[in-house]
Amino acid sequence: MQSVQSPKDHNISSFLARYNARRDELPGARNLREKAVKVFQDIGLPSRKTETWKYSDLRHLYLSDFDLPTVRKVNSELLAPFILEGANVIVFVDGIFSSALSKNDWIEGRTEFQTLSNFLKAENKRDPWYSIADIKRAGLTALNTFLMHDGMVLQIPANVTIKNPIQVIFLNSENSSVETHLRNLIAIGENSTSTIMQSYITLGTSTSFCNVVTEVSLAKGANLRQVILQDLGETNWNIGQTTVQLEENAHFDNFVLSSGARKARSEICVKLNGKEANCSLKGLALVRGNQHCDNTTEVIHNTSNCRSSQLYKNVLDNKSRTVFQGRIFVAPDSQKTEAFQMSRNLLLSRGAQADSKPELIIHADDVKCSHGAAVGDLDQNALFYLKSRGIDPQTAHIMMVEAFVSDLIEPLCDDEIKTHLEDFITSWLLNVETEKMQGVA
Amino acid sequence: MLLINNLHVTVQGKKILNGVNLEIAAGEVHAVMGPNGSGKSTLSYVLSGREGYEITDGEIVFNGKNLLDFDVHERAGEGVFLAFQYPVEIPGVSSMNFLRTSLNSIRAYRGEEPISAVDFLKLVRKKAETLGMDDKLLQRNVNVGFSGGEKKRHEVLQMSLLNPKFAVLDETDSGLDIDALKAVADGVNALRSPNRSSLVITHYQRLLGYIIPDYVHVLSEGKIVASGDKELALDLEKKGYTGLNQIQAA
Ligand SMILES: Nc1ncnc2c1ncn2[C@@H]1O[C@H](COP(=O)(O)OP(=O)(O)OP(=O)(O)O)[C@@H](O)[C@H]1O
Ligand SMILES: [Mg+2]
Repeated sequence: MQSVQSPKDHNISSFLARYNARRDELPGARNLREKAVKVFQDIGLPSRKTETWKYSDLRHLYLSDFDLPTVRKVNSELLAPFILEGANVIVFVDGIFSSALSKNDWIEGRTEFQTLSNFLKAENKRDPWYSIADIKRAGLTALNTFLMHDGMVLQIPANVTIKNPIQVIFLNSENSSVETHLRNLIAIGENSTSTIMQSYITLGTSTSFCNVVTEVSLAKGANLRQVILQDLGETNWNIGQTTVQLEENAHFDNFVLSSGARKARSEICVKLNGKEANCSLKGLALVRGNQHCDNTTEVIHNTSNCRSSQLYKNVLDNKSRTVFQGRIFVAPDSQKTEAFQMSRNLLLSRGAQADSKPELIIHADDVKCSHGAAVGDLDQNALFYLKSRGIDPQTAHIMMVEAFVSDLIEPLCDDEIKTHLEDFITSWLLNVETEKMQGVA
Repeated sequence: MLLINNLHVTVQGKKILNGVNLEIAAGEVHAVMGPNGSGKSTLSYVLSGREGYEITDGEIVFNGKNLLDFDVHERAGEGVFLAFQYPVEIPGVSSMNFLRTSLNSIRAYRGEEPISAVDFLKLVRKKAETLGMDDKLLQRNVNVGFSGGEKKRHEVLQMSLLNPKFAVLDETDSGLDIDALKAVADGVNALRSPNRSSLVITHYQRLLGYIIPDYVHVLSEGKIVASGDKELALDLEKKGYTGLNQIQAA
């Protein structure tokens, strides 16, 4: 007699079957992948019963079928609007590196870039490969680990400052419906500085599932500014997990602007391991329709004299939903810690819903720590003031929302990135129906 | 220019204006005085088109057009300006951006080209200087952290920039020091011309020493109960509103 499998169990067996078929790939990570399979068999896929996944339900994802990545040609002209002026560009199409679309001749000497598949090609040379992502973490990290096929590996040696941003574009091609498990490694050497922008975009429409794990290691005094723009079509899935580890005096600055996908989850875990290390995490979700966007953070103060700040804002229209889960952990003896966290939500529609869940676990006593969350709508007095000066309702609304997000955008150091994101936000806002915004009053 | 005819207004079920009649001809300055809560600000909000006010009866005609047919921003385009009793703070919006967007919106409404960034800057600097305002203030967010007097000067700056046909000044003199009061009065007087009018709401005769009104009205419990020339303001200053009842009873 045949038993009927639940979609989740069905998924688990098909994922494992996929692994078995590709077991011999990436020999450089063979042991890690094997370990990940065991972990996966143990913890399985997250469900709403999983503590950190309570607000983000993946059932529909488990019911969907996707194709395996295949090489597709994309006309470089179609890509032009998404490219930052002057940036060094690395492009992946449907999860596969495209050297034709990439512009990485700048690499010479100052940076080592290779694809993950290349990096892990050598037989057991990197095995056991030192990975900083926690494969036991509830989520899709273990899955990513045994199914990963490609991604970028970027290593910047010590004492190098790369002025122009490095832009990594993960593109879903038109009408694609692929499942990708990307793995990115970024290692910044001592006292080196770099800005990396990751853009997740769709050409036309696609219904793909992207599961991406990024591991970042910052050596002493290293400085990384990471900007992520997630603008996938609204029928895609995007699940991202980033783990960052900082040595002494290192600085990590992260901004995630998430506006696409049907369901997006960006999870970031920062480990402040060296004294005087600090991080600033920021996020902005601009969502509408039935979109769901989840930003989950964990900042771990493993030593003293570190600072962390988190500022997450969401702008929600229609029946969209956002989640912010922010965890701050201060280990015993991590004295002189400063940790700040804030989440603010702007509802443009009554049907939208924003959930915030802060969690502070503090084991040291000399700690400055604060957190807060707020949900509100547009200030009607301010709107009236603007309109009374001749400003039409739509422009007034746009000005107010831009004001709401200004403290996220203003501090961005790179002018190209700043303009790119400002334009992005404005064009998003131009598509919001003003009458609906007024209906909230 | 402006005709208010039998205006009745209700706010959240509460009757605030009870049949206001007022006619302001081109070139005239009218002052409205009256006790706290008598409906002066309500009248100014209704003129500028703020939501939440139910007009149960009456009409407002502005230059031959039914003003009530226009939205807030359109009224500003038509030339109505309100200097707020309590100017609103808008964190995240720089004053310069606000002023420029505002001026260009009004110019667009009038079918004029937008002003260039350079010309705008020159214009604002000049206006700010005339008003004795530090233009560094304009680098800040709209009214955020401005002192009471700075907010009021900012209102007058906006008025001067937008060049309205009809301006309502709601207690723009409250909380001003002598210099600021003069600057505000100069700002209003500078706009005085045969084709422009204003309505000055105030509690104090002092301002009316600088801006000599053509008419003074007293609004009480949502109705204009007395009208006169500038002497009425002087009388009120001496006798108060209770005294006014006696004058009328006599
Ligand atoms: N939104 C509102 N809801 C309820 N009552 C209101 C509202 N707005 C105004 N009122 C009431 O209407 C009356 C008139 O208020 P208004 O602000 O017009 O008075 P005012 O003459 O400008 O007073 P002041 O001299 O103190 O500025 C007051 O009793 C006030 O409480
Ligand atoms: Mg008032």
